[in-house]
Amino acid sequence: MKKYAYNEITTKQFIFFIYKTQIGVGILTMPRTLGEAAGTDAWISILFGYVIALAASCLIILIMSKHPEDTLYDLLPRYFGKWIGNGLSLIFILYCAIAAGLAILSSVFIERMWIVPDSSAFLLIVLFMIPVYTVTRNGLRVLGRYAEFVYLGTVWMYPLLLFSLKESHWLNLLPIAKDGWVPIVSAVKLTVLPFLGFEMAFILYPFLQNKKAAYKGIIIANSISLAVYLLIEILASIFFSPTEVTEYFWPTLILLKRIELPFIERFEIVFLSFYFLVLSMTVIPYLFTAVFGTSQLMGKQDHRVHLRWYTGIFLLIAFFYNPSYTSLDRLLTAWGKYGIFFAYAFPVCLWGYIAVFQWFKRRRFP
Amino acid sequence: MKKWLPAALSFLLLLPLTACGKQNYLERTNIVLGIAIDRTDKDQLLVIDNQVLFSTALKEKSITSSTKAPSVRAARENLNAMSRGSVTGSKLQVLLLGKRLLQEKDVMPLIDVVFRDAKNATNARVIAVDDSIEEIMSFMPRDKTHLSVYLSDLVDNAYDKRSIARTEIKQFHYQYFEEGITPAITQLKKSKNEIIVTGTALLNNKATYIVSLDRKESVLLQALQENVESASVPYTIPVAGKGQVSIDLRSKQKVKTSFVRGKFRFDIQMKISASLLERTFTMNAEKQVDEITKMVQAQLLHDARALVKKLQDHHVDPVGFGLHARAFEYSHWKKVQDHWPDAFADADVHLTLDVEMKGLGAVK
Repeated sequence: MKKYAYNEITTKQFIFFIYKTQIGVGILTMPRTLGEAAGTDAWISILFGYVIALAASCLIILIMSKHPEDTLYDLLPRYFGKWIGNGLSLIFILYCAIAAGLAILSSVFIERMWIVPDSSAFLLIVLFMIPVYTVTRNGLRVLGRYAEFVYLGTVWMYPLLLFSLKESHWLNLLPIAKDGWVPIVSAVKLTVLPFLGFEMAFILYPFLQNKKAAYKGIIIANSISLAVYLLIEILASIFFSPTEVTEYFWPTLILLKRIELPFIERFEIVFLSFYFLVLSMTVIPYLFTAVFGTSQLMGKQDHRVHLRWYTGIFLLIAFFYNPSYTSLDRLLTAWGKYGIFFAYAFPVCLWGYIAVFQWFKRRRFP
Repeated sequence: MKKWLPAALSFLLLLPLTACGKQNYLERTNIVLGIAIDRTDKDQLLVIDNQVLFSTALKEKSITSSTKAPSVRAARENLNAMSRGSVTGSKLQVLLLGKRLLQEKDVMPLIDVVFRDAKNATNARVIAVDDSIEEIMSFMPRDKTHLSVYLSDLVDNAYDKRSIARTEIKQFHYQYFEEGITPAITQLKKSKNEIIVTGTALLNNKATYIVSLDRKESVLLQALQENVESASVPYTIPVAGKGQVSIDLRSKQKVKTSFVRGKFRFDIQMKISASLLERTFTMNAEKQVDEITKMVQAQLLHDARALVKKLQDHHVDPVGFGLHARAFEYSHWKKVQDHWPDAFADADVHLTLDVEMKGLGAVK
């Protein structure tokens, strides 16, 4: 019997769900972090990061396709036994829960920095949580539709960045690989955070209507993200000087400051306000994965109870803990590190384990 | 009941978020449109703010107040102490820098506040003032336009004809941090009854004043920066013994970069299309078009070479040859990137120029 049949999502929803999870806070700081590591050659690092992300995504689909009706939370106990399997699930849940929390905190931090410096962070978090809650409490199908909506509602934003072409220095891109390949390769690890989000396929796969399209879907999702990242990285490289770009915390927003209309001077405010739709679509998938996971572990169908618990606990923490820029940055870096493990190393290990497991099984029961 | 509860809750939460907590009445806000900074004798900054007021009771909409303080932000606090409403600098239009300050100090750390506070718009024009900033800031435009708006219009208008460099604060930031280019900003001064733009002030990489270009040199500088591709720019050429010829020019160029015998070498090929605007002596423009073209070409080439030499003599590179050096001779650039202007002063710049007379006007 199809366990998740009532909540199927289409291939398009699958694509936008993953793509929108990938695009998040990272995009605002990316030109700086990559610029520090690889200078104007960072766009090559992004290409490398893309290939690695693609390999990991395909591996995830490969693992999931062995048991097409299972989410990760069903799969782990199947291979590792109840205790270890559920333990591993719990770690994954914790990772997603922390990721969701961090995404909220950094969204609100940027909002306060750029738009409403005098408003209380806690109130903004509460306001942000209301729509997040109302979306997340629904099933995956609604979430998929929301992803589509966010995509359509924000697709106009990226071409706007082309305004900065007015002051471009294309020469900045030359020569390619100016300091050799070492900085480029070392910057690849920084592209991990921007591409994080494809691990959602662990949860999404069994909900997918047309499972044959899973590979196609995840490749398209990664490719759209790649296009957005390349656009921004190249624009930032030709707009800023290589040293200047590292001077700004949020170079992407400075790019937008360039846009000046006769009736609006700080266009980045309009952009950021709409960008909150995109940011919410980073929070919601992780949040859903976390609360969906705990509900599965406890054997409950309805994840709303746990969502309420999460929201309550998170708000309680947010009330007392208001991170500074440095601690937030440190947390985000840590997230990137754990992200490497969960999105890249974990699928490889899992796949290896499953291969060995099946080989043993075949030997024992020929 | 269940439906209403979230709505009511959201409403309650929205209430403290609206502007009720901290009003900002426009009538009471002093909006700073222009700031002028110079150095005083006692190692302090003289900061003059030009603000606009929106109070209906006032006849004078523009007020200028000056204060001495160790930093721009400290000066703002002083001004705040004098003002009945809040002082906001986020609508800044012009930033004037006294020549004395430019000669003695690195200005970038002084205007740090503009970049650090995300509220600020960073499109104010950066202007070097030839003499005292007090005279400029006390100037009253004859048509009663607000001084800062007047100044920014002045700059924009002059830039339309490319007779100055127009540098916004964020571009200044770029030029300051880019090793391959040195900053160039608008320069103006007060003559008897008018403020006039005199050309371009060239700074070095530490934002210290080096030398000025007049309006004609500025045109060629803009041409070398490939800024005269879409604008048509008037240029006058003196003709010995006869008078002068004025042309409207557009320019394009190709730069070839190489490294020969321990020196950078730039081969610049400028293509200028010109059209005749005025001649102050009799000649048949139709028949003598080749002659005019040659004359124009010779003079432009002479002026452009003189400009490049001037830049090299003073160790400044506002054109951005460093970008070419980095793009095409990276290994050699790497060695000199920290003192690029010196390397540029050493470089061989070969300039060739090709004029095409596109139009002669409506009469022969």
